[in-house]
Amino acid sequence: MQYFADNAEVFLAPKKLDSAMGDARLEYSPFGVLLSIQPWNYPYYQLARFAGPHLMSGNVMLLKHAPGVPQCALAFEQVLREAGVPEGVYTNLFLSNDQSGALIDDPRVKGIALTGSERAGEALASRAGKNLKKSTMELGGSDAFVVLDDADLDHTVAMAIQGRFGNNGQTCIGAKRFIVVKSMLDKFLPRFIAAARKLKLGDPLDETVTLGSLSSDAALQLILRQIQEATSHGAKIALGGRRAGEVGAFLEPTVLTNITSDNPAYKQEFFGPAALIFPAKDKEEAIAIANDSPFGLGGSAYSTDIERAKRVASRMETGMVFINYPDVSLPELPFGGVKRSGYGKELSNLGIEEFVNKKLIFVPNANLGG
Amino acid sequence: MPYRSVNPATGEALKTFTEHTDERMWLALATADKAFHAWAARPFRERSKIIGKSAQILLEKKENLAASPHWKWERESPRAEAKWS
Repeated sequence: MQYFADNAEVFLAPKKLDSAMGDARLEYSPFGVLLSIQPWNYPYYQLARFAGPHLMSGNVMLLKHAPGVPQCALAFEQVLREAGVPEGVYTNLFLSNDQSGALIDDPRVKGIALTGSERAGEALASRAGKNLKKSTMELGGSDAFVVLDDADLDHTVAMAIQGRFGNNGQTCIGAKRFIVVKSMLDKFLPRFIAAARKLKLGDPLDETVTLGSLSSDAALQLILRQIQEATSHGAKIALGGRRAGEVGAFLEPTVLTNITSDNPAYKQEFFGPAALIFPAKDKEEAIAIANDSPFGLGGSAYSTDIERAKRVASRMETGMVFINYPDVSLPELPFGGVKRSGYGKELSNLGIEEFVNKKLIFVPNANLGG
Repeated sequence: MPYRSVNPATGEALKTFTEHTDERMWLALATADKAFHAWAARPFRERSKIIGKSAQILLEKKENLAASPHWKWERESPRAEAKWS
């Protein structure tokens, strides 16, 4: 939020455009009331990264947070009120999906932003489209983690653990598909499994715990069904695969192998601590597997040759690729995906420009004619 | 769907909120619509002061926000990740 407090004025300063045909300038003005629908998995941060840029640009917003985090929603609204955000500029609402739809239909709502599931994305994007309203959709992902033959093994294993099990595996941009060139597979896989086995499950407020529970029992049941479906189509469980304990929504750290392209798991997002392993013959096949996904959010490539990793990154069909690091989101860098991961950007100058009118003011030369 | 804080490590329901009524929703929209012009008309430096202050309060309160015993289970993740930096 501080980043946009500091930089919004520069991003949205009127810009002179180059034209030989006259004096052209671009001005930025806010849309008005935005409807923002945000997910539970980073319950404050998701609000901050929307409110920061879009309040700074002069928009106001109605915020519908996920039904599982109502107290975070209220606490965040309270902080903004305390800071002096006037009434009506930021309003938390507890709404049903039908109510959100009715808001989208109202002419006073000018833009819609969702971070959430594909299902929600389809419903909201089509409703916004029917009303010819601007929307941004940050949806799911099944990001590839591509291990090349010259990767630094210690670092790559550490990054794989961080990328898959961080936030208990519940990050849209987390590493989910581990695509490893065959010459590295026998070195990478046993070490990755050994490191995953060492994760300590338990109370997340205990600082020694490294893996907490899933967000809800429903989330646990969903991923258990996905694992069951994957194994019934031939996948093998190399680690975990079961609920941990009898109380709470804990899943054992899980690693699945032997996932053929006709396995439903091949194209699914696993939103929890379960890694899917895909061997690739070589770099070319690794890129092909990485791109053979309905999603296109992020991804990462691992190599001691940075330029080589960048060339792989250029060929990955996603909105973001990281080199030798699983994923990161910074206010100065654009965040967003392609394909079924959605469209539009959050953060950076590209994010703040999503919900402003970029208006051309043009004074043609006298000899333009017409 | 009601808004519920549930501890996913135990299944215990901590707090439930009912959805807002349509009436309250339309009132919120009307209030937002009315607030827009004044907010947009403020110079950047004024908005910047308020949004910067919001950021500052969030940082000051991060321990409480991340670990309040009343709602800690809305963040099931290890605490370091429930904060922001």
